[in-house]
Amino acid sequence: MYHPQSKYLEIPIRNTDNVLEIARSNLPSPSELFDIFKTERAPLKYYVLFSLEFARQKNTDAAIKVLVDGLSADYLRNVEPHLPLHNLLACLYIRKAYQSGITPQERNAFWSEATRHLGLAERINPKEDTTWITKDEAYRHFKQVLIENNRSIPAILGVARILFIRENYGQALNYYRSVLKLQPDFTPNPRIGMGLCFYKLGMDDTAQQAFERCVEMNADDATAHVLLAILCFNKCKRSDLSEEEIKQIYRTGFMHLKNAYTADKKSPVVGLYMAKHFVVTQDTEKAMAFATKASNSHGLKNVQAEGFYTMGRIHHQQERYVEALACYGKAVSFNPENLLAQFGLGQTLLFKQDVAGAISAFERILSKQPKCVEAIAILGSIYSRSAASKSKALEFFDKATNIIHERNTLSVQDPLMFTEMAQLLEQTDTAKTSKAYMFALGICGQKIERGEPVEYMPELLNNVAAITHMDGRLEAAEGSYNKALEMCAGKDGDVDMATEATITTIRYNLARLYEDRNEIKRAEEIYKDIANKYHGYADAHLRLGVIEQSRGNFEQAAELYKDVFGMIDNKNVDAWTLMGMLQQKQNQIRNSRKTLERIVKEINRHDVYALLALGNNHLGIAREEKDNMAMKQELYKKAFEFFDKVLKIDAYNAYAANGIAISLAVHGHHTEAREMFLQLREAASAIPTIWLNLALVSADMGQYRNAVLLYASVSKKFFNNEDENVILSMAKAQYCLAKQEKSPEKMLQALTMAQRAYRLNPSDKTALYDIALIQQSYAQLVSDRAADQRTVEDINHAMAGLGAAKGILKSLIAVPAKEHVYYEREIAAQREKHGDSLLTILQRKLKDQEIFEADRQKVVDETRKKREAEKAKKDEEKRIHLERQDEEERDILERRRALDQGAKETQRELDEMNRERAERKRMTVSDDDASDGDMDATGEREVKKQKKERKQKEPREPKEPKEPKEPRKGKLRKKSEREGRARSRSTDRDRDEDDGADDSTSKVSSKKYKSKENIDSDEDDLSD
Amino acid sequence: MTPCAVRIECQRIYILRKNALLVAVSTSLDSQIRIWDLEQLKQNKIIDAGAVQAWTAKFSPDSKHIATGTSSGNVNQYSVETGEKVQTFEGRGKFSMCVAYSPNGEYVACGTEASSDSATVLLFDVATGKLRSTFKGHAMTVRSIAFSDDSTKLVTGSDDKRIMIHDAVHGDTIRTLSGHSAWVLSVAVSSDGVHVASGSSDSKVKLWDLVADQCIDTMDGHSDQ
Repeated sequence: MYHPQSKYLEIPIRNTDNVLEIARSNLPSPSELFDIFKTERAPLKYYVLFSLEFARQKNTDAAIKVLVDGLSADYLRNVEPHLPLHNLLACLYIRKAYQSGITPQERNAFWSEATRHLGLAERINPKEDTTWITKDEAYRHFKQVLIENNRSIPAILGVARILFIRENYGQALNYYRSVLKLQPDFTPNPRIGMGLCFYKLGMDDTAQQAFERCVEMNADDATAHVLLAILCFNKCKRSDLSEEEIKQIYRTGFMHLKNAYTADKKSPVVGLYMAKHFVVTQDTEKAMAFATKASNSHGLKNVQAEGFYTMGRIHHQQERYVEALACYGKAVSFNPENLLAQFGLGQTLLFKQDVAGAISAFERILSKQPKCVEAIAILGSIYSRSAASKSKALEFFDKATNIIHERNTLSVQDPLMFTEMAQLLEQTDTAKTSKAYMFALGICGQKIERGEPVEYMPELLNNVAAITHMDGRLEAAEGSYNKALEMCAGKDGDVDMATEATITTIRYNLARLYEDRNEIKRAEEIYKDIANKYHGYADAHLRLGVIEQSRGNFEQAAELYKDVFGMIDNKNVDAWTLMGMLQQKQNQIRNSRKTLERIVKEINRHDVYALLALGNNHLGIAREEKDNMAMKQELYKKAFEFFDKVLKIDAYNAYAANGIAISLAVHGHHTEAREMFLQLREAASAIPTIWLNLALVSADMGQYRNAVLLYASVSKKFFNNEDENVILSMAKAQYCLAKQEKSPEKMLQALTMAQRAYRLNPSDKTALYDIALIQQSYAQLVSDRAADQRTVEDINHAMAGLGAAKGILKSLIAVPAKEHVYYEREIAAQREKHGDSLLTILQRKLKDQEIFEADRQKVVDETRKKREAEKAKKDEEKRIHLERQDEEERDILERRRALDQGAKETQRELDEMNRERAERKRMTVSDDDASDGDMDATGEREVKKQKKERKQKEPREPKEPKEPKEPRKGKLRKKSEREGRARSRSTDRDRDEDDGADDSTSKVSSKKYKSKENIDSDEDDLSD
Repeated sequence: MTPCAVRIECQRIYILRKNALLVAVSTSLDSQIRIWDLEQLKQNKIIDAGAVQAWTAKFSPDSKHIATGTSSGNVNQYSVETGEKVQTFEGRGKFSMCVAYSPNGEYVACGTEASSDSATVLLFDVATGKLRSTFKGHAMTVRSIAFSDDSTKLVTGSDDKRIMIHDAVHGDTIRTLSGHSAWVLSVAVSSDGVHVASGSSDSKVKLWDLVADQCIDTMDGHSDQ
């Protein structure tokens, strides 16, 4: 390598380990050197090495010569990029341009050369560090030149070019413009640069004008032609153009391309576009030829990458995936930023099952273009293939959907993505599934509008309908099914096999829908038709069987099931399962078990449904087994094993866990079982069995109240209160609760429940038996109660109930022996007798109760009488009291009236007196006045004393007479009375009584004082 | 018998305005048919129907008879006056869950428990006591039955969630109304014969238009059956 300190430079000699040493001080001439290089086939770097050495020795011309030789060396053509050489050359020319003593023309020529090499370097790889460095260097120099001479066109062009590379298009444009001003016919045509700037600035039309002008000036300008062609081709991708317009533009573009090709047959870019054109026109051979040529255009990595990409595409189209993969791989290695090639690479890798490689290819695209919906969708699709990465797949699908939402367009999307997404979601999220299907449908709809064929539209519609169907929206589902059928019918000509299969599927689904809507006949017709046409369509036979079974035609149903596994498919699990369930329904427990075992043994060892059914089957037999306890335990154990097996297959199977919990419960581990049921209910609250078991185990644990509540909620939540057995179980729990609490009232509630169950299915004798039992228990409870806690009415009621129970039991005993019943006839008979004895007891107790109640009644009556007497007495007192009060009030009123009268009279008297006095005054004034004053003073004192006495006495002895009759002191007396009234209103009455008593004794005298009072109170009123 | 006992033991109570007197008939598990005077709130008469042999009871339009559905599937007619059984309409052995007289008094119809081999709705001629028509079609137990006012249509509601309209005169089923998502527990026909109301065990009430052949309203106000 290049060591500035060493004296020698080394050239490796071909095919040996030896080197040729050349002294630095004695370098051969460039042409001699070139000869050596050629003979020894020296790698490119040695050209650089020696060129640098010449440059160091300031022999710029020699340095240039070495590099130019290197660029032209044939043997190096295919080996390495020439980029460093171009960069170096550019630098050297810049240096030359700075030489003193050269003409401006020469200088400009050097600048042009420098610019040219820069451009070449750029084309090879604009991102290479050395290019940047050279450019920075160049930019500085160009600027320097321009300061010296602002008309130096090469310098201007250089600056423009560098600005362009730095993506500073506006400024670049200005520089190009100034070139245009200085020399409009300069070559290379500055309009090309301007056009490129316009293009980059998004002004496509202006760019086109610029290029067109170039073509006008020079019809052979290949660059302008090819750029025009590219512009046209890009325009074709615009979506707002009509097909006719697109065709027109494409034709123009191709014309330019042809012109470009005529002008410059070797231009790799032109070749590339020719290749692309032939790909479009499906002229594979020509396309391949041009693409190959482009891929060989050494030094232009982007073009090479494009060339390989195009080749890859051609191979891809022709399904030569291996070749395609190789081409895409090369394209990507030349230019990792070529996303289309990455995409192709991913696709072909996927085809080769190289999933990891494909994923990394698509991930690379996403790292550059995070919103590339296609890549996201494909990644989602890849992830959706394995169960482990389903959530990841959904994430990607969600992302894609969001981006599509953002862009608000479906036009370019593939409905497949949504279909895949929907299929993925089907198990988990119905709402999202149908949404995804709707998207897919929307895209299909748009495709149809555009006249593009959509092959799987009916299937898609069918899936949508199935989702809505399962969601319970039957009307909508029916509409979609019918639409799908119409589409199938709409296909012209012969209906191919695939379509026919689709039609059958849709019709089958439609029939299922009719079945769900209880339009059994319609469903049946379709099933029959399908079964006739395609005998092998097992599901249709099976549904017919299910219909027959629901009608109770068990034999026919069995025949139909047998048809399926007998004639169509001996390994049809559904058929065997249905058969097993049918046998179970017919109480052929052993047969049912055999059938189910067949599934597990011969068809699918891991058939969860069959295993569960077998578990339940064993549980059922175990429950029925009453005599052989060892056998019972054995059966429970077997059941447990089946459930355990299921749990090993599907650890989250709630039914199996439920079975295990049952086993726990029957083995007496109630607490654990209950705990397990509780957990299960949390996890799978939609399975009623779990609730029922929880209730059952609660009842087993003696938590009857809890059990009743659980049964009630299950009955309402899952069975619309329609399930007789649930309600009967609730009645039993309530019965136990009533017994536990010895509560006849609760027993009556149990009776109501049992009657409710009986009403649901009046032919059920078990319910009747339970009712009789509850009636008797009620009677027993009433009988057991203490006399003071029951009534004659209760006993009567209990006796009536016993009567009803007797009737029921009689009818139950009378049930013909051949009919299977769930009660023991002998026990019923014993019950009847027990009822009779109870009745006797109750009759006796009724008498006792009557006596007891009569006694109690007597006591009660007496007490009441006493109470009433007391009350009457009190009332009487009160009445008297009230009467007196009334009387007093009346008195007061009367007295008031009298007073009013008296007042008027007094007034008159007073007036008269005054008149008389006035007359007298005129005669004896002084005597009269003195005597009046004395009298007043003594009166006042006396009253004060009285007031004191009254204050103490009044509350205690209200009846004490208190009115001293001193008519003369009337005015003063009145004052004290007013005070007394203010003190206590309650005493008024008493006082008034006194007043009344006074009345007769001092009728005449009172007149005066009363009148006085009246007047006084008037005064008071005024002063207040 | 106390009112309390009625609450507990009666299964079906039918009320009829008879000669301006309110009379009710009730059946209970003790196999007694009781006729009540609702104005004086007392029991007028007890008819012993035999063990578990009176499930539902209805008055005839002239109030002279009572028809009861039985567990044997027969429909028995009793005289209100004497309390004697005067007629038996022979059923098909399946529990007859509901009984109805036609308003003109000519027919008695009953709905029965589900069975695989026989019809679930039977129509008898009162005068002759003979089975007049059978209506197949309901897949499950028929719990409610009603005639239209003109006695031409018979409406039945079943556990199979459907309602069927039958032609009582010609003996064929006219149409089926599907839409309930639970057992149909009661049906009634409007006096103009155009509408049918039905109640189901999920506490919903539907109103049907027989002309348009569709459900025109669904009411969801009840909280229990």
